[in-house]
Amino acid sequence: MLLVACAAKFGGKRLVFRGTMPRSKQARKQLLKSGFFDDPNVGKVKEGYSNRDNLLVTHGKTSVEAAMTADLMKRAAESVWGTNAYSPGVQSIFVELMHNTNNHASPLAKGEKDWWISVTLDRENRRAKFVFADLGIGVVKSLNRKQQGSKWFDIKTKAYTVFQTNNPAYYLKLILDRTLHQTVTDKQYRGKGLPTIKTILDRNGITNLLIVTNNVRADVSNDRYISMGCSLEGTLVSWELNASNTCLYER
Amino acid sequence: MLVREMTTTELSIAKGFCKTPGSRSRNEGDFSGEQFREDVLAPIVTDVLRDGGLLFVDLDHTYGYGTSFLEEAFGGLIRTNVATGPELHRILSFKSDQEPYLIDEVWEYIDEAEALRSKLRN
Repeated sequence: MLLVACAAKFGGKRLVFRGTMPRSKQARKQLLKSGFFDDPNVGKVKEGYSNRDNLLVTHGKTSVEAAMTADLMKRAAESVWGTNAYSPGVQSIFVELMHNTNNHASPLAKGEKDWWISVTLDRENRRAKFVFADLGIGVVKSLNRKQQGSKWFDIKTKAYTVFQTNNPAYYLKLILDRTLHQTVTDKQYRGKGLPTIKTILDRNGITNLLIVTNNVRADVSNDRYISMGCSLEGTLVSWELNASNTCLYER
Repeated sequence: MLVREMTTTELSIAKGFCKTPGSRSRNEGDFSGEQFREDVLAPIVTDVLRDGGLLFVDLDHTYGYGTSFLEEAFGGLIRTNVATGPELHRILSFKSDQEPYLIDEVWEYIDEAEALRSKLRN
């Protein structure tokens, strides 16, 4: 999906997007099944490269499209639990992430950055995998750029006073469990945005939550937060639904 | 002793607005909290306050909420001077059998907005 997002960036600048297939057989197979070659930004590909019966992709949106994500969510939930099932947790996550991209992904103005979604349905194992990404500024950089008047203004200095570290991976953990906000504002905080997603994980609404943003990789489900040697200019969030997660049924 | 019976107005967000609530503001996309507040919730709250009644809001049977929708819808009632926090505490009650924690969240948004309003007034 990030490749598609990059291809769209190239296309926007009228540049041809070229590349070779991955060497790994598994990666090659995954790429072929992903629908990447169906994307109009990718250009001509050999026939037979469009086998994507188990993948739903949407991209290039900047606004919050709750009706569209509800449709994706329902199709995924029904593949896991059967007819009329739905997952309010997954829909809430979609709305939070679309809102974040719309509001925070560009340092210049709201609604400037596209978001991308892919949903892979594994009917055999009753699982669905979701990936949401934008190529915006990223969570860590966004936080560091907050202007005076924002509760997050000068967060680095304030947080360093308390935690004695500037490790961005540690800060992402503190954001997700609300500690950072509580420390900075000295107020109880139920949390909006990213903390809400962690709460949905804690309530068993989803499983295998992973966040990659700037140089931080957060395997939230396993409480592993690491600083990487490389950086993603943007935010990628992935999670799964399986039969053990909680769901609701429409009447 | 004169006992005046209070009328309770019932509002289901799923039936009275939509099953796919969106984000905070109209300019962010369809079915926003702002749209719900301006087009549906605020007129009802105004009527209920004028008539001395109660308002019962059913949060169930949507496909899921973003926090910004609920904050803008209910906290926004205070920011736009439709009602005060104490007034909302007097008239509002909620049902959320499917996601019971939402009720506390909504009250938190109301109380935060009221705290900010009081702070700005003083």
